[in-house]
Amino acid sequence: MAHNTFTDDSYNNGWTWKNRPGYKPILFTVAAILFVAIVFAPPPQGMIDMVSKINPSGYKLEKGCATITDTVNKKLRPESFKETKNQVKQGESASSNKKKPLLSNREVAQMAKVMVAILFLAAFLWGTEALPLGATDIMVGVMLYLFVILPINEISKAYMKDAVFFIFGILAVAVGVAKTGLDKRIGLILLSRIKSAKGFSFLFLPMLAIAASFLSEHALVALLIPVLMGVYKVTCKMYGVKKDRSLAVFLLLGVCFAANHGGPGSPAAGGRNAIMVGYFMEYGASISFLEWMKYGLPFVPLMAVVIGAYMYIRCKPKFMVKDVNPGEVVKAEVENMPKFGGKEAAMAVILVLLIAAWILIGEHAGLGGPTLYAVMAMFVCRIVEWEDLQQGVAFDVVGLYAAACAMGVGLKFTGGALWLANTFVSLLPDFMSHGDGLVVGVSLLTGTMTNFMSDGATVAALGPIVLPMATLAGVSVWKVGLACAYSSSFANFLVVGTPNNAIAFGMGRDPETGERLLDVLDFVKFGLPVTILAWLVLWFWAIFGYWQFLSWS
Amino acid sequence: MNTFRVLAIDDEVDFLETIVNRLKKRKLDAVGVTSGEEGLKLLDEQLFDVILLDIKMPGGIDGIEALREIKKIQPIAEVILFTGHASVETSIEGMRLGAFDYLLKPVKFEDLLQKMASAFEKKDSHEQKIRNAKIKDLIRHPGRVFDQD
Repeated sequence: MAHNTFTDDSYNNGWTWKNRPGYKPILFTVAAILFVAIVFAPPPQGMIDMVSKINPSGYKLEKGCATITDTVNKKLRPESFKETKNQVKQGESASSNKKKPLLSNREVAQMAKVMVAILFLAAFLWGTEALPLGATDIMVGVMLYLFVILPINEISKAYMKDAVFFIFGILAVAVGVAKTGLDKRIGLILLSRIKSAKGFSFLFLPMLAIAASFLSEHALVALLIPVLMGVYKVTCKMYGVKKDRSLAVFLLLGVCFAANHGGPGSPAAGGRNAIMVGYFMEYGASISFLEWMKYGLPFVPLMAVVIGAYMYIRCKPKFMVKDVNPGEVVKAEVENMPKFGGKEAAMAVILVLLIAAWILIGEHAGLGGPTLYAVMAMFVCRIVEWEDLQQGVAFDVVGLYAAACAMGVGLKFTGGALWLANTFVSLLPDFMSHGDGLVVGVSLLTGTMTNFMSDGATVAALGPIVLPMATLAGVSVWKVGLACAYSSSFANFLVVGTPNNAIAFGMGRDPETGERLLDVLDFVKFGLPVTILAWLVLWFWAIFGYWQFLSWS
Repeated sequence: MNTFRVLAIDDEVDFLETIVNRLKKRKLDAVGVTSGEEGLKLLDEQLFDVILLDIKMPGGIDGIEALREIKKIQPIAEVILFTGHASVETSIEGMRLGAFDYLLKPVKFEDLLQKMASAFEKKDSHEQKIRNAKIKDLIRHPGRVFDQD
């Protein structure tokens, strides 16, 4: 309906109160008013006490500093700070000819409060799309400059972390994989081995979940849904059934949930993991690719088997068809695939080498470095052109991660993160405020929140809060951070919780009638129990299980 | 999976039956109806990839009117018009309205198959582009899934 778009007043005349994605003036105005009100309100006394406290727990002070205020002054007013220090040493009183006076505790607390307000504003705008994603990414930078939260040169530095190169590279590699058809070959070959509903549940779903730990889960779901629609229709026809909702739910939601839970498998599974890798680095607890896999990968196949068993037990008895044989249906399509070779083979080699490089040299070259090598190799092998990346890489999503990194730096530096962590810890019931109870609490909070906003935005918003919580409670930063990143994959019970759900819901239609095969409530009915199962597996298999035998940073 | 769904609309029952049977023998999912009204009713309930439409059907709605309605109900489906020498002008008008191509009756079956394959290819590629655009949109903004209907 292109002509409608062009005649729409809201697009032509510029100003309107009418909402559209990326432009929700009422929400934006409300957010702006609240933000301004918070900025002008005095900082809470607790914040002033925190920034003036000697050696506050959970904050890494700069050398020669006793309080958060000292650390902020050392960075933002270096000359005055040095002069004051010297005067104190020589026992002189503070002179009045300083170029810029030192910031008071109140002013530093004000900065911490502004930083917290920026975090909530950005999370709100990303979640509601009241502004385009990219505009919110830039807004974070604008706020950092406007309120002089960091020295000028450090604002741009805060944006450009290794994690940002990493997520850009992952998205670019996903473009190359899709362009060569490698993901389709992997998906179809996996499916062609499956001969029954049991095989689908207990073999295909775990293999898919593991694949989703390294390849783009959204691409896998997007290419499998139309194939599974074909499988659904052929199966219905074979058994003379007009429609079989249980079969459709079994196939579509099974794939969707399994792909969602591939997330913990490796840092390459998605941007939210890249953000956590960046936050770990910021908190001086860098994690390597292999270490992440050691903690996360054992969760993936077990969770996928649990998903398979759950879907099988709930759906199979209600099948109107006798069984389903996806292998038979996709056989012809697999046979018709072009012979493996050429650019597709080159892409496969690049992908394997990339994973090997993440594991072997990631500790020295970071995760972004090898990913950029892979992007370069794709250009050299003529697998992609710049136009492909321009079209295929969502630069506003890359920007979201960059802005999240910058917010993390600002929150940590001003003490805003520590204040939030203190506040959250004081709100938690006692058994969740320390030890593994805190890890469980963080997974509950993240798993719930990720259903209502994007996984990336969830980790971006919670990371700077939960990592200092770990320090305060004396729990490993990795434990809390990984629990946060892993549970951000548990977005199962709302259609809009993650792109995988939206793709399954939107594309899951009967190929003959166009009728939608999934209902909004199917996600609640099937997804909520799956999310509860995911928490249980995370707690009893990972946190209280094999994690007890691993060493922690 | 490499097959496609065909709807043939023609008031000549013998011709229609022959076409549908021969298409089915080629493993195509083909359905035949003898009037525009029946065709439109079916199109309201089911999706088709290629529609074969006789331009000249006496009584009821004519081919051109049916074509206009088809394009409203299923804009992506490709329509191939059957026409006689006397109604070539009407077929050209039909192509202006979005028909894929036209074939002169009597139709050579192999020509028809070839034309249908090209029509399906075009429809498939068009559909693929729409699907990719929708997926790209959903990956960035899952909440837009309800706006995509």
